[in-house]
Amino acid sequence: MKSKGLIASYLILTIAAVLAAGPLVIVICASLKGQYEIVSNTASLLPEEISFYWYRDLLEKTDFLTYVRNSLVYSSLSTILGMVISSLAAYAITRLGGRKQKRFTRVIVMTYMFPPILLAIPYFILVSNLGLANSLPGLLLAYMSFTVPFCTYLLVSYFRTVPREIEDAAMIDGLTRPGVFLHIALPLVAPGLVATAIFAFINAWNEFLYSLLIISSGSRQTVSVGLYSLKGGMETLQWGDMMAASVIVVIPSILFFSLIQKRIAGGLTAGADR
Amino acid sequence: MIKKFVNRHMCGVFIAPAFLVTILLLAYPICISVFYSFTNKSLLGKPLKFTGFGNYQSVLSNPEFYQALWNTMVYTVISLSLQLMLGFILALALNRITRFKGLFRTLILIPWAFPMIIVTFTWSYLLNDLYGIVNGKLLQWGLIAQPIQFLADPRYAMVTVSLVNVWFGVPLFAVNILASLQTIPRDLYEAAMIDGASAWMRFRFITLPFVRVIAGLLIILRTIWIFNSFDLIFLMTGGGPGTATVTVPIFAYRMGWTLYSLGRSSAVTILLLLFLAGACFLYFRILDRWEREVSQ
Amino acid sequence: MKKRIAIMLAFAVSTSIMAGCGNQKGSAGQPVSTGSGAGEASEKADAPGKEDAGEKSGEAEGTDPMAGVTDDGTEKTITYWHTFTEGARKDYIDQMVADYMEAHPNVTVNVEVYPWNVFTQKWTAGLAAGALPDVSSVNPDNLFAIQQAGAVLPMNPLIDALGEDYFLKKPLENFTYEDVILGIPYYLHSYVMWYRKDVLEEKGLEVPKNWEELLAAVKEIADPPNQYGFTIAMSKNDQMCAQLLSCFAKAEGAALITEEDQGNLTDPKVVKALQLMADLYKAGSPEGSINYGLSEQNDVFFQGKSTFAFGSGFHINGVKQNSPELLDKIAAVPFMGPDGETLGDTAFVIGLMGWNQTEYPETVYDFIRFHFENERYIEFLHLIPGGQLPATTEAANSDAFFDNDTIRQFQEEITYIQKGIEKGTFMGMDFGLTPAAAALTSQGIIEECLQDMVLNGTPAEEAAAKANEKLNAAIEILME
Repeated sequence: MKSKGLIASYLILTIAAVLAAGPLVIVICASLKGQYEIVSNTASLLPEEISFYWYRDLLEKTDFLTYVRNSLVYSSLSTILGMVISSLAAYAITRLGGRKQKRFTRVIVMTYMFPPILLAIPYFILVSNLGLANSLPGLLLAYMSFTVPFCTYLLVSYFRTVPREIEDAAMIDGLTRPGVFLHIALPLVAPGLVATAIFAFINAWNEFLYSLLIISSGSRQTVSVGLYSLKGGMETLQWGDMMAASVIVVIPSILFFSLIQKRIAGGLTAGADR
Repeated sequence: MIKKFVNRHMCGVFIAPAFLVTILLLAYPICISVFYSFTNKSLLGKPLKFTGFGNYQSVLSNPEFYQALWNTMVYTVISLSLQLMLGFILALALNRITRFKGLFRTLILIPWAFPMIIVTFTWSYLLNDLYGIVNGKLLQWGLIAQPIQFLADPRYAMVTVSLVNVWFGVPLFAVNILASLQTIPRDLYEAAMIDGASAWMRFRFITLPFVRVIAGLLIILRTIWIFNSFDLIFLMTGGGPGTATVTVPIFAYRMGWTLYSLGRSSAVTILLLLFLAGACFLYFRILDRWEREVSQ
Repeated sequence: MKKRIAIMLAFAVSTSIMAGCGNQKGSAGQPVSTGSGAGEASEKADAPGKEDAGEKSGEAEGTDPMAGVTDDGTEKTITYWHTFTEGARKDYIDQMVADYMEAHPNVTVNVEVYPWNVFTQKWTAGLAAGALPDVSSVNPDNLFAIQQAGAVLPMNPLIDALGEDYFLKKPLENFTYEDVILGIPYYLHSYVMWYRKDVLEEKGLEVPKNWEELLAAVKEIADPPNQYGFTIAMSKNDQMCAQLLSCFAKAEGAALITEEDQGNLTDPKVVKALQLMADLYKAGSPEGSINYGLSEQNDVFFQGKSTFAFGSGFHINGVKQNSPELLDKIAAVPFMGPDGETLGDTAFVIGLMGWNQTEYPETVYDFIRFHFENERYIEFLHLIPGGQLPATTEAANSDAFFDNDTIRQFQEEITYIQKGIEKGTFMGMDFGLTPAAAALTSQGIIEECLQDMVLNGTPAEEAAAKANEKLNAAIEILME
């Protein structure tokens, strides 16, 4: 009985892993095909001959690595800033309790409802008028619009699982509110924090429109804008360049995931014991 | 007394940054959109005139708007239900297994590492009619005589973009549901086992109530996200073939950006907001009930 | 209490932003430079009109005022947006900007580069916020909206300084609206019909001389998924159908818009051209071309899978890069009407423009002029040999331009393209820069019309009538 469920779990996960990773494998193989093979040899997964032509081509033609570095910096800053703002707010909201808590969370959800495509123009006006156009603070400001509501909302639900009794006990022991927040509440919701932070990072990493409008000077471009230039800037599709670029962008994220995914597993009870 | 004051004080300070961000970044566009939606606001520097409900009238009398609304609903329902179902199953499986946990968690997360623009490139490449590997293999194996038009055939286009969205979105559900599964205190299960509860009962009375609040929140957030999403469809089909994949954001985009008519696109935005607010209201009612059940 | 303060604070911030929004025009328009013509120029920029042209010409006399003001020693910063995102042309522009800054040490040029297909996003937001580049690359169809928004710096002073014959006449006309020159053509091309000599030979076919023969040839050749006839790209994110329809309809002597700024899609000649395109699609276009844009469409030809293609001299470069072995096997002829005649051509202009709120109009003119210094200009044109044809009279008639292997190899095709440029007009610009021309390409109306015909089997007349109605509605929104 128990092993049946276990086998089924492994089976399901194997299928899912193949579906999830399959496209990546195909992309990696395609990126290693030669200059002409990329579009001529379509039915075969593996390249006839391993070639780094497209990687060389991409790195010669564009400052792709610079874009990757830019995106990493922007997304990390946006994640850190967003998580600080949101975790503070989320914690406070849960401590308000009752009706107020509900009202606050719902207001936050409402703010999340605006389609980003239609926010872009008002934001750009706002950022320009604040004198932040073409600057990192301008971009971060715009990124907060989707990071803060989403993260706050998710984190509220995580903080709610922190038993009040533990906090009250800590406060009796002499911890201040900020102390409780830092030493008790945050560690307890660590898995939720990590999951939320990954999401915040991914959203910023994937973002295209705001970064196009707010920062698009050549050397400060983000990966998404750089990728878009590959697709739309030329008279011909550069599949090889795109595949090479995809590998360069996706592989580091996956390595990052593989490091951080353990944090998601660290359970609430494990944290409470410590 | 003092403790209570500190408590309240702290809350205000903690909330303030988020509150400012919300006001600055969201109240402003909302106010301005409401205002524009009643004017002929255009980017072409014409004198601003109030047009009353004119913009709403012209949007609501446009059959394409309803087509777009319907398409958006189809897209949202397909994407969301599959994402939720598959995400839940994967989270349970991930929670169950004892070995290779890290490996599977990482593999399942892969689609998430794809920026949306790469998602669309990759899938356009895989499904391409002339040199995509999917059609290439099917032709090679003799299963089809002509390439399947995944994105160009109006019958398949919506299903294709929805499935691509599912591929991209499942990890979000899987990870968050997994995280909430891990927050369930183990002793609850142990106690239930001692009481002789069956696996199903443990799932129904311990797992589900815990998880569904998080799942409910995710559903709300994803409904909004998918409903408003623009890139995936725009980059893969641009709304075509015909009007098969025109969604409301694409419709609004064509109004606002290419015709420079902020007035009209604001009207679409407000209508979209009202619609989403209605949907969220319904979700909240359900969530409220679940929360009450949990607290009982 | 606390909460109330927070709300008030937030309100104050947001209202001040809104107020700032209203003010931006005034403050940005204030002349900062103390140079002689700067104040005057920005005053005029607020009301670009006919009178500008004549008045301005006086200033151009004497020793080059543009270079004079530019080099007056004060620090100047201008922003330059361009869309040459790929290797060679991007590097070229970077080098040119570096050269310019070396020649004018007090001037800083900030370069921003973004792909063509997001031009709309970038400019719409820029117009809304009043944050635009001092100099930018631009297409005539986008220029209309920018002009309507009152953001274009008239180029008349530059033309007066350079002389009226400096640029080829027809391309400059595409940038002229009621005597105000809104932009400067940077390079040109016109559309011709490319074909594969070897495929036609193999099938024993002649180069088609009229529509019937073209259709028959496409039917004969089509052998999907190995070989296609003529790729009709219908993505609404692009404007390929509008371009091709313009080619066919123009060859037959019909414009896509009327002189009264209305759609002309119901003209029997245009309907016939639409029908031809739908027939060509059915006879031998990849089925998926419904979703194709420019690059997907070109790829089919570049990879040797399509026998016919419409395009400019860029096709030479595309084939060379993708399938060099096919380079000897391609050739092109001008577009023909149903009976084999050609009554008009469709030309394409990529231009440069200035922003009228710029602080340094003289520097903008001077910088634009810098693009055209002869040797440098020809070097730029040769980056895509045959694809970028000269806009200046000097370069067009120079031996240096033709001194290039690829251009020599395709001498005949390039002659056709040059002829097309001489007598052709931009899509929908038969009557100049008009809202109708802007609506024609920005809305995907023609593409939708073709999709309607091939997906739903809507008869050409009916689809054309629907599209025409849509086009007129869009024109109305642009003009209201």
